[in-house]
Amino acid sequence: MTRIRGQFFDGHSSVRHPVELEIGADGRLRLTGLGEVREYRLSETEVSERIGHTPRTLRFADGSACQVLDNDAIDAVLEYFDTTSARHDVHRLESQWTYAVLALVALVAIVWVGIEYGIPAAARHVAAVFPPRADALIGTQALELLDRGYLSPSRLPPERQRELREKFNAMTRDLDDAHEYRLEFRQGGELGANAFALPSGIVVMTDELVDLAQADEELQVVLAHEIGHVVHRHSLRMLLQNSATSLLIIGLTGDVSSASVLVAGVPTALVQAKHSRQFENEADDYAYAWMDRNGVPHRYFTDMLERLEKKYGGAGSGALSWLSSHPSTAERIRD
Amino acid sequence: MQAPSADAAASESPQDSSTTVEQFRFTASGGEYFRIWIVNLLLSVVTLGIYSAWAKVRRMRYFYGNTHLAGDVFEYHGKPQQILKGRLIAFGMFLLYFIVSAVSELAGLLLALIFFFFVPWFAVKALTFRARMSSYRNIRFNFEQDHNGAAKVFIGFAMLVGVTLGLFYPYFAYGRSRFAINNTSYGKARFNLFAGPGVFYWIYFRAALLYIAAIALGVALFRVWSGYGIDALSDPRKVGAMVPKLVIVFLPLLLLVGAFLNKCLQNATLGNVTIHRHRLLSGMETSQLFWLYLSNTILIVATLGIFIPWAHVRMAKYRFERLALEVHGSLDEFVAGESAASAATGEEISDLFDVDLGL
Repeated sequence: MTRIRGQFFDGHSSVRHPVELEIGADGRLRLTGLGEVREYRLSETEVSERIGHTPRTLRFADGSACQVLDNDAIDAVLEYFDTTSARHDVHRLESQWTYAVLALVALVAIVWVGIEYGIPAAARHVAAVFPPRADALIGTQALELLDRGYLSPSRLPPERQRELREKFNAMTRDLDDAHEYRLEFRQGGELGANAFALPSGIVVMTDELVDLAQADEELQVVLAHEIGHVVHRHSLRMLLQNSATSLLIIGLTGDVSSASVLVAGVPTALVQAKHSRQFENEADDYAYAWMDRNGVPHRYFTDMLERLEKKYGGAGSGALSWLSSHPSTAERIRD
Repeated sequence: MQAPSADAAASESPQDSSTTVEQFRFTASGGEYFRIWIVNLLLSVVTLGIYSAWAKVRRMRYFYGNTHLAGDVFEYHGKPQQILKGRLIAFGMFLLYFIVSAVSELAGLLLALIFFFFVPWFAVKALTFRARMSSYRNIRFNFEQDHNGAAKVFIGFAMLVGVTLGLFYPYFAYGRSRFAINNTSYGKARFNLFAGPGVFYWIYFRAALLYIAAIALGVALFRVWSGYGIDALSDPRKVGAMVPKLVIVFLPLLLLVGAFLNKCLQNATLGNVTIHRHRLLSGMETSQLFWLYLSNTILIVATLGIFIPWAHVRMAKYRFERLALEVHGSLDEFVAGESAASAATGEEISDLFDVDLGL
């Protein structure tokens, strides 16, 4: 027979009654210390889970309850009677520092693999569910906003525009992925020499970039890179990956009331920048494959990247490279 | 837990008209909570978030079970299945909003507007769930499902905040706290907030002045230290060198403003609450709260997040150390109210969408 001290509450009033619990071999709990002796069946008693050193609650069928501080004594009783609540697998994990350290290592590994491979792979599969035409729905207003804020109409002569458009059309003619490819020209203004692709298939190239190029092949390689973004549906996948990343980081850091922007915002930005660099690599892959298919030497891409870097400075230098959306030029140049 | 016998002796005379002050105590330890936290996280990640509902129950039970008042601890009764259901609904809504607002900003705004009109409902559900899943001495807390009151505060007052360009905000904060506190009961006894809106106006007025002073001081310090004005931020080539100095200058200043505001709000709400014949006392201090915020932030960043559980425990410990109950007579006089089930959806949606309930 085990005797355990506890605090009894009848569930009707807030009066505390110090009691002693005796557990008989027949599986009956006898509470003494109240006016009369009360008896409950252990099988009809709900015992709360063990968490740290917090008291356990034995909840009886009539709504009354008993709080007990002696966790080990309660567990010994439960084990003796082999009740299902005797299993404390989670508590066992939580009670050992060895397990905690192992859990930390496993967590870091899983999160790293998830960010590096898991989220991108999941996004690719989910993106495949959406028809390519759905891409056009993302950022329909993007070009409109850019036109209002940054870009102005192109000053390139119409015949030059036509020339480049024909080359662009030749590059996209054989793609049958339901994107409507179209090349647009704008003055970059603050954006300078630049090119970007909208998810629908519209590629925008700035006059500054056209002026910077020393050969049309250089422009075609840049276009191939932008077409790569569209073909691989990077906008949709970025959208999916960003939402997954936000959820993951919020889930991991939880609600940390002080300076939550630093705690959740910085890792989110780092992961999103990392994913952006993965997409740039994929678009570069596409550009390199296009060059190889068409017998265009890699030096056109290299020259263009180096000229851009000379003009605008490196995409990622020093500590800020982790936050950069593009890989460094040195990484992008391949043999 | 050696104290109960002495307390029990004191409460044996129910007609006692004496006044005692019962100090809240929080006995969790950072190391113990770290082990619970890391196992919770790992299992949540491995199960793709499903376990997070079980994790929440363990976390809440751990924190409640370490919160002592007059020799007894609080107990959390939420069930993982309820919380999981709430989380799935919240997740679905989050996903819907994310996709819709990505496709069309207008549709996203429209959806946000629809959510706005559901805020009162969420608030009532969240507060009800939290109250009913909490007990002390085997008597549950409860929340009066006052949907009209919620609509008045979370739609009416919230819209007035917008119309008055924020001047109404202190009154909104007051109304929100009053709504949350005055509808809560312990057993059959109602809580009552006796502070008026003036207290809140005085708090926000001082916080706004402090905020302006902090920004001005920060800009001046930053100019002296780095040689740049804040406007240099628009030059992308300088940002890299500026960010660390910006953080070092502005983070402490903004945390100080935050500490002042939160200390005032906590003291003004919890410190002005009565229940039955008893009264809560709250005595947080700006300097101590500021130090906690600052040290927690630095240690969390320096340890890449490993310090988070210690930070939670330190925060809760301070809150409860500064909270006491002025007991007039005895704590034995409370009686249980009717009990009713409550779904977890409201609280989980509020968690995810960060609806600040002000309590």
